[in-house]
Amino acid sequence: MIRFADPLIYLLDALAYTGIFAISALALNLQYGFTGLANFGHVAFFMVGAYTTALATTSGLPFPLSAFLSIAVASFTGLIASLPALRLREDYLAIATIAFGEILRMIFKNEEWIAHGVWGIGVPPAIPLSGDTREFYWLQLLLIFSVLFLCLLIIRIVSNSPYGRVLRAVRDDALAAEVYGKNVFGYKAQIFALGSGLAGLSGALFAQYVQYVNPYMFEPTLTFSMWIMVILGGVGNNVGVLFGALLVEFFERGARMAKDLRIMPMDPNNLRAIIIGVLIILVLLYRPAGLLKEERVKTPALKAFKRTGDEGGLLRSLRKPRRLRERIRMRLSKMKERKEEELKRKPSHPKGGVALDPGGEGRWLRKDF
Amino acid sequence: MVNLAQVLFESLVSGSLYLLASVGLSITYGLSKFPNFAHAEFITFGAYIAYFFLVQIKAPAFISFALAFLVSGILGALSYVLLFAPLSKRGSSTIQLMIASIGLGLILRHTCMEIWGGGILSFKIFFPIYRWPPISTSLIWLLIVLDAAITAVILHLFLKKSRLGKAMRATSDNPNLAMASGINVELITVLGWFLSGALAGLGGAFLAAGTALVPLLGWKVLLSAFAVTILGGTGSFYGSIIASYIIGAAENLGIVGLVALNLSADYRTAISFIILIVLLIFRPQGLFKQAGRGD
Amino acid sequence: MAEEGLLNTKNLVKTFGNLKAIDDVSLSVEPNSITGLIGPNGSGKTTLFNIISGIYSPDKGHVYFDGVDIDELEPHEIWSRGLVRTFQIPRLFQRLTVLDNMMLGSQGNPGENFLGIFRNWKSWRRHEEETAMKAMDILRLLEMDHLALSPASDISGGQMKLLEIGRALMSRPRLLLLDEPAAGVNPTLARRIFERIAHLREKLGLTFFIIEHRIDILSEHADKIYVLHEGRVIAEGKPEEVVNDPHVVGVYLGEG
Repeated sequence: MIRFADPLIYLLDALAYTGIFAISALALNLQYGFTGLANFGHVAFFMVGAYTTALATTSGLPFPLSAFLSIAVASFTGLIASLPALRLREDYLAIATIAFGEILRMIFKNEEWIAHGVWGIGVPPAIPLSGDTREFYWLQLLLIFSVLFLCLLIIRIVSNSPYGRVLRAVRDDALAAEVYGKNVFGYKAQIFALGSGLAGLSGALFAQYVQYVNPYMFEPTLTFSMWIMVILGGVGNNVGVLFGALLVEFFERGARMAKDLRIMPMDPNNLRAIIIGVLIILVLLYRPAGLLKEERVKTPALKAFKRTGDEGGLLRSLRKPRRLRERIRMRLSKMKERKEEELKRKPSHPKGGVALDPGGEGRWLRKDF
Repeated sequence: MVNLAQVLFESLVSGSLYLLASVGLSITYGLSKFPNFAHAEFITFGAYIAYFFLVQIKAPAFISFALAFLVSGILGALSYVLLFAPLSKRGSSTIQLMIASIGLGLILRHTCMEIWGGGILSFKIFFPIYRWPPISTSLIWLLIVLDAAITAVILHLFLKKSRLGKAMRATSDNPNLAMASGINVELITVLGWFLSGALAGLGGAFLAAGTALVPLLGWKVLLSAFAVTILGGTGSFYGSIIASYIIGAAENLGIVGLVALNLSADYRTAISFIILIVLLIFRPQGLFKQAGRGD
Repeated sequence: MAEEGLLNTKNLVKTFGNLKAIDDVSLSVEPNSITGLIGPNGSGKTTLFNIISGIYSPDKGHVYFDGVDIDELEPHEIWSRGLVRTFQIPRLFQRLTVLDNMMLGSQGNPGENFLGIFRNWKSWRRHEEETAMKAMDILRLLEMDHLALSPASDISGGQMKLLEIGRALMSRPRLLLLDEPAAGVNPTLARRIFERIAHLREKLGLTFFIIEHRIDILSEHADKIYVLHEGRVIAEGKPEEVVNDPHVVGVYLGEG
């Protein structure tokens, strides 16, 4: 059974998921890569955001408002959850956050008055078009990637600032940071809330894209998936995380496609999971920092160094610190290039074909990893 | 009217199951200092091995379960030798080891799913039901309780009386001191991982026999197993034993409370999770360990 | 017994379980002085520093900094009042650069506040440049300016100690608690470090309270030395007096 009549849509679909989960992965990187918070309950805030949007839009609120609400609710939930947990050692924090996420999911599953429990609820998409057309997918991609771009911008600004420097200090040695006047607990709580809010935003986009939410879509395996994006791509490197998201999602979608087209002797879902497991282990063994190196804090401080301290041509090792506007332009053109390249590889097909069920199992998230 | 005797018996059963599932987790957490998430797959793998021998090869039950114990044990030991030991030597952090264990779990789970399919499998054993009012139970649960008791006794004798066992306790308490005393810490650790896998596998086999075999079998128990491990104190064998029954009782008694409050019985695991979170925040060393173990 | 110093402790007591780590310690550090703290291992010197810098709070007694009672303050509050402490084993931010480590020592950066990043955009960017210039100056003083962009984990042990001190200087503190600044470095470098310290005391009007085992080098620069043993002050005074005090000598010999 082929899900999408139009093969291009397979690609657009994959990109959409990539964009959505990239936001969550960036948020996780902010928490772990920059601040050292091992949050393994990330999916809980993603779920809260998805459900908030689901409930808000079905009650008639327009999507932008629902999205804001999702951010607020997820952020708040994150703040509450963080207060008792932030003093924990990293492995205990990891376990506690998983447990927290599971409790939340159980509540959504069993308390049907919230959102119909296991039956889930449908979500109207932000773009009022029928889900079969290319136009729908292009517009969704526009929405998702605009939001992604905005989040990336904010995260870049935050991490390339004195605030971002303090985050890394908290990660490297929280006691020393404390002794040097940084209110460590405050920073951790802020980043936990911010990261959760971004996860909620990502969940909001997810809900309106998939157009349906139920508790089975938010199992811990989703958090692990996001962690793998961060670890593979590069801890503390935002571009790396984007790359990690692309890799993981394309594997995921590729596996589904292979399954639909029945081109493999082995269940591609299993193959995908095994490959990802092996990849993770290889990365941890041979390149534990991830594929891309950690980003340096780029602030005007580097200018002072350039002016006064450059001996031995250290400047060559440092790329010229360009103005923010130029850097944005560069990034935009790089992203456009990447997309264009991939689209060129896919041959275009005649439009039309049988309209298939768009809200069916094709859009569902993997249930087991 | 609440059948207290039945609830207590169920607590005994749950506790016994958790004992088999958690003692190993506690051992590896204590020895290698990280939470092994592949432990869920050690549990599941044991169940699949038992299934293979019992249902597919039609071997006798005792042999099948014994093989589940052995093969899972080998899996545990290999996991350490091939993965966690090299990572540790390269200076991996706790979180990195944890993520590696998640990756390992992925590989194991999906390999099993590839071999046996992703569906529900049944051991096809008929267990007679016994009724000693007010308690009614099935043979399998009695076997689990019996097995847990035997395991506890054997482990106790091993840890207290044998040289190897004492060496293991020493290594868990203070690895540097143990090494300085001439104990081969590496060997002890491998042995610990073998035991961890073996007990988990055995527990999984029993659990699957009593319920059903699904790929996420181990995951259903894992977080409760963590609750037991933390409650009993990581690395503390006796602590895990007692904690297993406490958690088992908490869940089963909790169900009574849930039903009374008109809440879903699905929340039984939430009880363990809440206990787990509270413990981590207020008393991470558990009930039985002395504080100051370098937390 | 504690006079009007920049830093005063009065009858401090701190117990850990059964161990009385600090047992009725009263001392005073004069402004613009170099005051030493010596004593055998385990005498409580680092614990005392931890109490003063706010990592521990005393069970009994008080700590006064510039007349203000600071016992109940958090470490970051104490730091912002001008009392900065270094660690015996340098606690640097390993994955950050030397320059970043220095930058983190500075006070009052408007960009360190979340909303401040956006609201005070121009002002924090300016602050960054100015602070970086100052950091480069200090690094030059410590002859480490060429390492500014190296990760802190890549520099030598001696340089780590210097960086630890350099970072402490960034906030223009009034009192620096140095925990064994010359430990583990060769005697020449140790002398150089202490010469730097004396130089800084002159040029910037700083006050230093220093734990040190190299009593010979310490004696060359210190104005006054306190001797701690088993949590109590057993001697205090000018270096010559303290070093020749038989009780002090006995304590050290008995220890060895």
